[in-house]
Amino acid sequence: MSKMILTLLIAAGSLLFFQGVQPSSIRSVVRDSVVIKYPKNVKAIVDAKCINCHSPESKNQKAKDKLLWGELPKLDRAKQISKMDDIIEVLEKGSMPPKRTLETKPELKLTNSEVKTMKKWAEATADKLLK
Amino acid sequence: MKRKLKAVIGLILLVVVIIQFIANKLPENKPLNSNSDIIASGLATGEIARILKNSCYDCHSNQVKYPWYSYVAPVSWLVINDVEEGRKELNFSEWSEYPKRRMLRKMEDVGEQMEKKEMPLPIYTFIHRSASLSENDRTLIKDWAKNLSSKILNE
Repeated sequence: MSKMILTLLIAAGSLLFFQGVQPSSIRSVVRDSVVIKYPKNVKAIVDAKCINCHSPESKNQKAKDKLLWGELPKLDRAKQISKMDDIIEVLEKGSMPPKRTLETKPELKLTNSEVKTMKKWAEATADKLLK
Repeated sequence: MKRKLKAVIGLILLVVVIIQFIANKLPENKPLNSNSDIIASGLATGEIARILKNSCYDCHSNQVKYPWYSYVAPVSWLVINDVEEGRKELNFSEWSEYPKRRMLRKMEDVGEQMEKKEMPLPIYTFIHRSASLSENDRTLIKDWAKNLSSKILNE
């Protein structure tokens, strides 16, 4: 009788162990492979045209609240995907960099090919994060 | 004095009549699409559905209830603008047509709005007293938005 209970306990324990370990280890593998990455061509655009306002050193509080490129990889998955969606919408609308900024710094305007590059990257990143 | 007052009132009335002929068309409603509507498709039920209908659907859906005065300028101008903007920002009637990334962002936004209390717009709740959200309503909506987010994430 006590042997049976012991066997049952061991079975239950091992079940719990595997349930506890397996999914989270799989998840962490998936998570690591989708951490937001900036390929060279994307980083070049961000550095040239976005980072001035969207970085901790910026004086533009609104821009900092909205998006910090360096912080993006540290956000949780839902937030990262949301930010990608935001970036895509902004690119589609052509609302960034804002008109106000372009008046004084017209050289910051995104070219069509830059918009394309950024959009493709944001869409691919969102898709990867959703998998 | 009396004549002056009459003239002023007459003038105001005349202006009110004239402005009725300025672009005045309220955004059209569409028939309920039970596949794409967030309530009809079963993603918002019970108390959540009631709150959404009662406090959000008059701008954020294709099923806007227009009271008689919303047809009268200048109120109509305000209503036209708010409904157009509201639908563009988030349309619960077209929920299922959003890509997943947008669904997640909209649910984040909903949660944020519940905390910041910018929604429903004060001018709306001033007229529709019953649409203002209690603390409990806000918590319910916030939790619902969070749950829906994790559901979308884990699909």
